[in-house]
Amino acid sequence: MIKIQEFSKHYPGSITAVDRLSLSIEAGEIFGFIGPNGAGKTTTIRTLIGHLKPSSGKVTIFDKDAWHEGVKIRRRIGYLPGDLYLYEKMSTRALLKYLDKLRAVDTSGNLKLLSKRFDLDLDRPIRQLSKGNRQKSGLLQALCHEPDLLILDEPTSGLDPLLQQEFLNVISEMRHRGCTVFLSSHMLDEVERIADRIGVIRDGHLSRVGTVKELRSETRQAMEIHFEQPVSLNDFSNLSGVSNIETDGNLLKCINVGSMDALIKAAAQHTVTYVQSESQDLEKIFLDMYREDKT
Amino acid sequence: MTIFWKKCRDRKYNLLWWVVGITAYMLMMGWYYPSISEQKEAMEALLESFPDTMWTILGLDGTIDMMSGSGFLTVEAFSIMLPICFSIFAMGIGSRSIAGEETDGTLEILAAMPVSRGQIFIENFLALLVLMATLGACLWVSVLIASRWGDMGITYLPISGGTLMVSLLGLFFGTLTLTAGAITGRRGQTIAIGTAAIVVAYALNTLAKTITSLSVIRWLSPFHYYTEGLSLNQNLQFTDALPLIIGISALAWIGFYIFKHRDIK
Repeated sequence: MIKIQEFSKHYPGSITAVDRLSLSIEAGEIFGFIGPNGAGKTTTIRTLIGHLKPSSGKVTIFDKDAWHEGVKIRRRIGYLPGDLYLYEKMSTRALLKYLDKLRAVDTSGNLKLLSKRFDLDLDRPIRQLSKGNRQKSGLLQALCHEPDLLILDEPTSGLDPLLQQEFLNVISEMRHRGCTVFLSSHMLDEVERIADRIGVIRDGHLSRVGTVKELRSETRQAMEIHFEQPVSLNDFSNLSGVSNIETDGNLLKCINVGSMDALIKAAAQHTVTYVQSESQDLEKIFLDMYREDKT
Repeated sequence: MTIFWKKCRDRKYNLLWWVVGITAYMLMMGWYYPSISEQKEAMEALLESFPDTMWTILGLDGTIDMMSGSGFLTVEAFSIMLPICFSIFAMGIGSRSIAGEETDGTLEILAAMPVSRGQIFIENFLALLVLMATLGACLWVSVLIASRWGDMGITYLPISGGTLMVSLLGLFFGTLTLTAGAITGRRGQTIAIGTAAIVVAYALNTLAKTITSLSVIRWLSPFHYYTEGLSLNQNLQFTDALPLIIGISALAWIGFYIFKHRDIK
C-alpha cells in the first residue's frame, strides 16, 4: 500500500528533515507514526500527500509515485493536516459540498451520519466554531468519502475524551471495511489502542518499527527483590538484560529489559521473600528510546 | 471548473463595488464633458501653456486634442485613473489566488484533493481572466453611455480598443501577482512585488520619455505598450495588443511551471 524507500528531504540551509527513511505499510493496516516535535513526521506525511517533493528516494502509494501520480493517489485518500485551516466563511456542509465536487463524489449520506456521531452543527460558519469543532470538520472531510487510505496528522488534537473514543471507533470500523490508516500522534495511549504497528521517528531517522507487542518486549522493568539474607552484587553481575544493579542489605534493585529468565534463576539461588516489579508504560518506553537515540 | 467558480463567487461583491465605482466615474465624465467643451477656447489656451513634461507625466504626448471627446476621456480616465484601478483590482485577485490560499493554510486541503497543481493554477488564472473581462465589459458599457450622454462622439470600436487595452494592462499585473504568489506562496510578498511592479513600470515609461538614457529600456514597461496602443479616436490594431498578450502568456506559463514543481509551504 505505502512503500517508502530511502526517502530523504532536505530544506534550504542544509536542513535535513528526513534522512533515508524506509518503511512499508500493508493494506488494511493501522500504522502509528510517533516522534517528538520536529522529528520529521509532518514532512513524511506531506510528502505522502504530494505537497513536498522528495530530495532523494522513492515514495509510492497504491504502486504509484506520490509526486508524479499524485492526482490518481489523492482520489483514494482522506487527509487531515496537523495544522488545520479551513475556509472560514464556509459552513462544514458547504465545505464538504465543495470538496465533493473536486472529488466527484456525493458524501451527503455519510456526512449526515458522521456529523451526528461527532455532534457537529454542519450549517454554522467555520469561523464561529471552536478548535474542537473545527477539528471535527477536518475529520469529516477526511472520512466522509470512504477513502482506501487515511492519512491523519494528530487527528484527535482538540477533541474531548468522549469524542476521541468515538473517533477511534470510527477508525476501527473503517479498518474492518479494508481502509489503511497512517496515523501520526503524540498521544501514545491512543496509538497503542488502535495501531497494528508503530514507527518511531527522531531527528529524521526511523529509529524503531514494530508491533505494540514487540515494542512492549523492550519494556524496562524496575525490579526490587527482597531476600531472607543479604546477597552479593557479584551473584547478579553479567546477567543478560539486567543493569543498574544495587544492593542494600537484603534488598536488590535493578533494571530488567526483555526476558526475566536470567534474573529469576539467579535470584532462585537465594531465599526470596518478596518481589516487586514496576512496568513502564509505552510513553516512558518511547521517552527512553528518544533519550537513547540522543546519546 | 470547481475552483474557477469558487474564485468567481468569492470575488463577486468585490467586483460589484469596482463596477459601481468605475461606472460612477465614467458617468461623471459624461456629465462633466459638455461644460468643458462649452469653454473650449479658454481651455485650449490653458492646455497650450502646459509644458511637454506635464503631458509626459500624464503618460501622453502633446498631440492629443483634449477638447475632443476621445482626447478628454483619454486624459481624464484612460491615461492614469483606469490603468491604476484595473491594475489594483487585478493585483487583489492575483494575490488572493494561490498565495492567499497558501498563506491562509487552505491550500493544504485543496492540494490534497484529486486535482493537479496545474489545474489549480489554470482555474485561478481563468477566474482572473473572467473577472477582468467582466470589469472591462462594464467599463465598455459605461464609456458608451458616457459618450452618448456627453455627446463625445466616440464610436463602438475605439471604445472596444480602449477597454481591451486597459483590461489587458490590468490582466498583466494580475498575472504577475498570481505568478509571484505561485512562486513565493506568501500574500504579503506578492502584494509588495505587484505594487512595486506597477510603480516601477509606470515611472519607467514616464521617465524614459524625458531621460534619454532610460529610453533604451522603456520596452520593459507594460505601460509603454499600453500608451502606444491606446487610442479612442481610431480602431485598435491587433499588433498593438500583442506585446501585452505575449507578456501575460509568458508570466502565466512561468507561474504554472514553477507551481507544478515546487513544495507547498
